Amino acid sequence: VLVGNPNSGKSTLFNRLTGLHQQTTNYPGATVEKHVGTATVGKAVLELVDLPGIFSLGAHSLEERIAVDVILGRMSGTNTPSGILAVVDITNLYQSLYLIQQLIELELPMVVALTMSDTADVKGLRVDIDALQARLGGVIVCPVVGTTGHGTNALRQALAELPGSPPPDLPAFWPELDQAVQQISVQLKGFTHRVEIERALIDGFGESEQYMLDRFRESDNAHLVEARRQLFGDEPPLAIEARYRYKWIREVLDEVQQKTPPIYTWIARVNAWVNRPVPGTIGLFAVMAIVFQAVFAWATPMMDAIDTGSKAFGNFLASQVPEGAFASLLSDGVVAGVGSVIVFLPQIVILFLFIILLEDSGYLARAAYLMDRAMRSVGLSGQSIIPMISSFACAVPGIMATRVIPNRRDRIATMLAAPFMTCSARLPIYALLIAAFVPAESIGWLNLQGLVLFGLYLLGIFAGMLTALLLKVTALRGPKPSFALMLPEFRKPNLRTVLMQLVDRIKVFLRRAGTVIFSVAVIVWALAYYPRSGTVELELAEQQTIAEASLVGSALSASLRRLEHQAAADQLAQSWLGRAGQMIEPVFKPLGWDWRISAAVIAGFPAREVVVAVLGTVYAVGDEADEATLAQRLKLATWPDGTAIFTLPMIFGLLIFYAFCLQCAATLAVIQRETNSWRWPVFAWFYMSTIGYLGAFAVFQLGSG
Amino acid sequence: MVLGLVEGAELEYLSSAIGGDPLEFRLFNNAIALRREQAQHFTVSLLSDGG
Repeated sequence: VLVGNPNSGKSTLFNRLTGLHQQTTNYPGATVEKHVGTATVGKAVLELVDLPGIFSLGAHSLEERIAVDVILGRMSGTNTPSGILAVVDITNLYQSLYLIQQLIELELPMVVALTMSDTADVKGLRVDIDALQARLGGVIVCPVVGTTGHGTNALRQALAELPGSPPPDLPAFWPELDQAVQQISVQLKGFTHRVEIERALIDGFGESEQYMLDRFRESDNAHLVEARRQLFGDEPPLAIEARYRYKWIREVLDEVQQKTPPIYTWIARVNAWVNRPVPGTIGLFAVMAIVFQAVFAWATPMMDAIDTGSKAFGNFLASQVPEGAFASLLSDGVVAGVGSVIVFLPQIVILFLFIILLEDSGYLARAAYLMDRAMRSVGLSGQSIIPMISSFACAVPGIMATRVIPNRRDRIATMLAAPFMTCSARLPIYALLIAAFVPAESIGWLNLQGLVLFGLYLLGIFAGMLTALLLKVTALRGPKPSFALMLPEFRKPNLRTVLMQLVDRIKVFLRRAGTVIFSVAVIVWALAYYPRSGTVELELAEQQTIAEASLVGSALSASLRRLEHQAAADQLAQSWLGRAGQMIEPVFKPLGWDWRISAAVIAGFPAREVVVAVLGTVYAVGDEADEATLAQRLKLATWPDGTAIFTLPMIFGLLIFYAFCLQCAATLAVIQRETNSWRWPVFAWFYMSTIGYLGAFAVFQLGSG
Repeated sequence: MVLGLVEGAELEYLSSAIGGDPLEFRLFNNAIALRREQAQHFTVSLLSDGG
């Protein structure tokens, strides 16, 4: 297994060692990704597992727990490792040795890879490799450069010889702890590993207490409490552990590391500049602006091409098979459903690319640092900013990105705020309604339509922040989390690593979003298609015969098309979806919606992007409708008494409903998976639907009153 | 603490984010960020000015 600090160059080294022979899956019961690859050394084939980056073996965050479980061989589906490859950033020996020391106590064969060994000279460091090997109890230390592959041959050799070789000697740094662990081990008849006993002694409090208790029998707890009292007295155990370990580390460093004057490079100058408060903050806003620009502007041509392509493909398929339920399922259900997922792919790819680049260069930690103060005003920390930004493309990767937040309360608050950010699936309905009903006029140099769109974005941000704040002062109230963040140096991202991560994340996204949205599309299709009414079809045939008898040429074809659309609308009106819309109309009547909008909204609950397509069908413009003609139809839509449905208060109400409502099954599923409970997704759904409804209600009633 | 802020560690104050919080320090070769409130929990003795 590969173990190391975050940002230690672990993934780069993993990619270097395994090349393309790797695969990504999830650990059972968790969404933490599992990277497994094979490396060949001579005739030996080694299986390598890349673990999430950790600072210590104390299992605080989800990723740490998984890493610890894998190392100790407790993870089902993963073999107990036969050795450890510890990855250490040479410029960060101070913090890395903390983890290394804990790893040595695992008594497994171990090799240490010293990464970034090319940058040591630049930073003015000399490390005595032989002395380091001796101080670490005889583990083999290999200096490597992950980006160029320098030194990896020696490392491969060392890895091949690793299984079965003796574990390193334990460094003596805290005899009292050793004694206590020995004693408990005897009392427990040696059924747990010494490191587990150590962690139980030190971390057996607070949030990790239950996790630790699961590992021990109830009766053993008394031994632990007694030993804890003897070892630590009243002081916090973790602080004492840190004091002992770092004392040892400083001794080691004094011996193996010499300082020489650092060489100043351009990267160091850039570093110094972005670290200053004002230029740093301006720089952050510039970076965010570029990311937004890229996600929306660069992706549009690609998205249009995909949209046109999938529509054409759907029509082509429909023309190839006989008309009927199967053709409709293929073109309106399957192709349209899959197309609605693929159409977001360019945005997702661009967003992921930027996030990976920023992460790899070490900028994300800097962003968290710069935004901490602003986020603190709503009770979160700077670490919540990345999930929020991601959610502007799609809340699903945004919610997945909350894993970097170690505090559980902060993490849940961020997850519930993230779906308020205007995701790309909301854009089509915004674009449709704004283009149809907001005049394309300018106020000064500001475009009115753009202004309304911008306002909707601000509304989402505001609602999200308010939600986080409300949660943090009520249900998720807790002690202020500690905020200590490593700020890694900037470095040039490695192209290979970036591309590999990108492909990885796209695969995960397609698999997840693809299955959910695809099944939703098919279900919505079935509800809108069945049951077929015989009378509507008979009537259509009758009307067609009349038209054919009385008209010729283009007048005939226009008339026929109109008749078909009318029939399609009539069919929809009596389909399950149409009936549901009529049934629920009284609920939405106070918002100024007729049954057609109600039906489209119901269809949109599993995936909001289908709303435009459903509106297109209910307003009887059929498949070849582009959005301009749909917009015209909407303008003409009236109540039975002839008054317009789409009045300004009603439209603003509808926009607000869309801004707030959580109409996305994929988001609910990912919240469920990440919190491992149904409580939060159910709460999020009711909460967001309620304020969406009330918002639309208030706007419509006030506006029309 | 796991990051190595323990008795006897040498810190150098580098900078702060806009508004004077959080603070950035240099600890051995690495930069770490702490909130002002937390930084106040540590007792430091001055080794040198600027430097």
